[in-house]
Amino acid sequence: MLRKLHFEIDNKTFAGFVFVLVVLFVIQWFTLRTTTGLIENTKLVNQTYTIITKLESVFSMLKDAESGQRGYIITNDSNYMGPYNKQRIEVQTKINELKELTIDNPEYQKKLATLDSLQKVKYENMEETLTLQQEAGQVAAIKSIMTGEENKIMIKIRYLIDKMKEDENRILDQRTREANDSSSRTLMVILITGLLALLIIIVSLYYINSDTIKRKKAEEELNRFFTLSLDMMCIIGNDGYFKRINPAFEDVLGYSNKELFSKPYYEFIYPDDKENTVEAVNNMVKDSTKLNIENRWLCKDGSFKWLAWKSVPVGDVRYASARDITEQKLSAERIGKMNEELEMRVKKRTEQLKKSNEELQQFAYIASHDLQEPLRMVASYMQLLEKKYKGKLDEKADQYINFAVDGASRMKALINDLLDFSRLDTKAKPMQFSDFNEILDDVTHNLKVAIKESKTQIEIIDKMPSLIVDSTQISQLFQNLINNAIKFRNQNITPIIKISAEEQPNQWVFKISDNGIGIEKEYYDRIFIIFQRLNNRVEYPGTGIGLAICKKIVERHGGQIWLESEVGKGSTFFFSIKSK
Amino acid sequence: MNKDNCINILLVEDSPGDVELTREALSHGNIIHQLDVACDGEEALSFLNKQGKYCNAQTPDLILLDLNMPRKDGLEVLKEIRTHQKLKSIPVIILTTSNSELDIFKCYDNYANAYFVKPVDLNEFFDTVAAIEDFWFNIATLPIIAN
Amino acid sequence: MRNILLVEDTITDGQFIKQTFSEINKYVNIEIVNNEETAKKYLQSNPSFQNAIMADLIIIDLMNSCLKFIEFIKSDSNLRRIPVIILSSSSDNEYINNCCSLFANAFIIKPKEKERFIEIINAIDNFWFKQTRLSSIPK
Repeated sequence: MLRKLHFEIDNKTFAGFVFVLVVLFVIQWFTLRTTTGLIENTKLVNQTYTIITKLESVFSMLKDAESGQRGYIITNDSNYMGPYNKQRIEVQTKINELKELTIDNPEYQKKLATLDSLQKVKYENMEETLTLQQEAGQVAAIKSIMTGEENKIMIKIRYLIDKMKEDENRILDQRTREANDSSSRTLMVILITGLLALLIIIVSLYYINSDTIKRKKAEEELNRFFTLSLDMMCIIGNDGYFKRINPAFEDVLGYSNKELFSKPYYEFIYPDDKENTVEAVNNMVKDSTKLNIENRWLCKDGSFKWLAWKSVPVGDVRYASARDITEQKLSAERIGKMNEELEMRVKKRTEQLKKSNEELQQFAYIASHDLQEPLRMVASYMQLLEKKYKGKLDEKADQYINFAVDGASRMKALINDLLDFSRLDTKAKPMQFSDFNEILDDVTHNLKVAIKESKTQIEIIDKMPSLIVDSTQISQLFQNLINNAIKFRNQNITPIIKISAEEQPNQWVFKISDNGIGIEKEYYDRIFIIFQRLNNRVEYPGTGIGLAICKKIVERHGGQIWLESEVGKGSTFFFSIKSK
Repeated sequence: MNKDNCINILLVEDSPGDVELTREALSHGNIIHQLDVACDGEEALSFLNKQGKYCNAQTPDLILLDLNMPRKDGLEVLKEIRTHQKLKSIPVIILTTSNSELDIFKCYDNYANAYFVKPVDLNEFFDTVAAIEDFWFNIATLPIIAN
Repeated sequence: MRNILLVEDTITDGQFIKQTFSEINKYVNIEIVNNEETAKKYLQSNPSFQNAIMADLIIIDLMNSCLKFIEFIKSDSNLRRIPVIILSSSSDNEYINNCCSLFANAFIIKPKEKERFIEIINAIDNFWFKQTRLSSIPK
């Protein structure tokens, strides 16, 4: 299978190379151009020289011919006619050659045509002279020559040829100069682009180098990570054999590299986990997804360790990394067991507490209930005694009876209060929507005797809400608080009790304020404790359970109770009831 | 009522203390009465059926019945009275320490005429008895049962 | 709040009783029906009586014998715990016995004098609503 060619070269580097290539091409082109030019030039130079030579030879041929003619005229030697005839043909040939050579130069062609006609004329002249000689004899011929007519033509020819030679030379010079210019330009370009190319090559080299350094460094780092990592890292081939592993394998499992490479990976897995792991791995490869799996691996020493693997297939290998989680697994198990134990203990404890609570409640109920009977006997008979024999016995007897009666009635009150308190949870009604205005109505009705006797004024300032409560208990709550307000009034002032309510997020806060005797700050907490009293029994009767009951009721409704007070001025009791 | 306008009251009560209290309370009313006492359910039924030592007993005009008694308790006595041909019309007033809603329910369910919880306070107790006396002897008319 | 069902066939008496009760106890509500059948319907929470609340006390003041009615109430498992007071002008012993044998809770001879009637009504209010304990009807 053809592997796709990956183009991995850096863009800058690639650009650099491209530029160098471009530069090279430029150089090539320039050089090519110049060389072609030079070749052209050489050709032309040759041509010029050829033309000049040919022109010269034309003249010399003509001169030869002339010499031959003159020689013949003078000597009548026919040997002299040889060159004359020969050169005639040769000249023509040369001129024809010249014509061919300069066929694309019309100027030149004209000149050559002129030359051609001139040489023809010359020959005609010479022929004429020869003919003259034949006809008129030598002297006449010589005379004709002495006129210089023939010379004039030769001068003309000479002039023309010289002219033509000049032209050629001039052209040659020009061409030569051009060629030189071209050469030097080319040289310059070659030099510059060469330098540029060099520069780029150097920069590229530098860049490639630093790139390579970085890459090498990164490789080194990765290698180091790979080697140092406490987690196991490996590459596994599709055949199941390890292709590459890091030293952590040996550290964790205890096998040498040789051992690890000798068998496929699943041979090292704890037998119970082998099947699952192999299946999961196969699925990973099939679906090309990531794999997270925890399994047990056999160690060299026969024990096993829990490893948490992360793996991903890449190409035809899988990369995998694992962490030794044996400790965590064991810890987790331990924690799990501890939790279970704790749960059981908590459950047991709760049951015990529940039972104990129930027993206590039962006890409280039975105690107070069964105490009623003997209490009744004591109280009733004491009272009866008092009734029947008051004044009939001595003072001490009266006093004793008083104390007994008093004791009994206090006991009765205590027991009743205890019963009430214990009933707050057991005899509680289910919570229902209740109108607090109605509740307050009932309470003031219940307390009407006390209110009348004490001349108390009760002001209900705000409209009361309807909330989901146990109405009996709320009634008790209000009754206790208002009763207290009446009980602990200032003797010389008309007791005024103000009841208000304020809505707050998620709750209502109720206020019952009086202008009574007040409570010192240091006792704020104590008064809510069951049976705690701050005043003497004679002036202010009561068992001291009222506020404890209030607190319990308020807390049953998810609220809080607190107070503000100023001794001698009055107290304000606040309590909150959840509105949802 | 018998010939001399004396009302016979049967008090079924196991606590002697309460017996005495009741006696005392009743004496404060202005009703001429005779108080007979049975100290438990068995005694009460014997009395009502005029059995044994009670062969000369008077049929009570009103029965004050306690609930928590040894041997036969109040509820059983009530049931038996209410099934007895002759005795079923006698007003039975439950007078007990029990505050239990369940007891109240059972008593009315078995045709008790009224139910009272014995108050702890003496004065209140006297008031209670007085109220019973007042209603049953001054206001209501008791059925006359032939002896 | 207490509810009395008064089965009263004499309108004036009914009004008088209602009036008297309202003066002595504002927490008493009296529903007057004038015959046994209507009373039965009332007690059985028939839909035609939307405000039919179970009575805490039944006072029957009918000219004719109400023995059947007493029997009906005292045999119904929901109704029999409601105290039934018979008001009657009759002082016939047999009638009284019969009423009590059917477990009427009390029999009161209706007085002719107004003061006495008021006294009786006071006594009923006091005894049944302030003294004796009533069974709370299961809801």
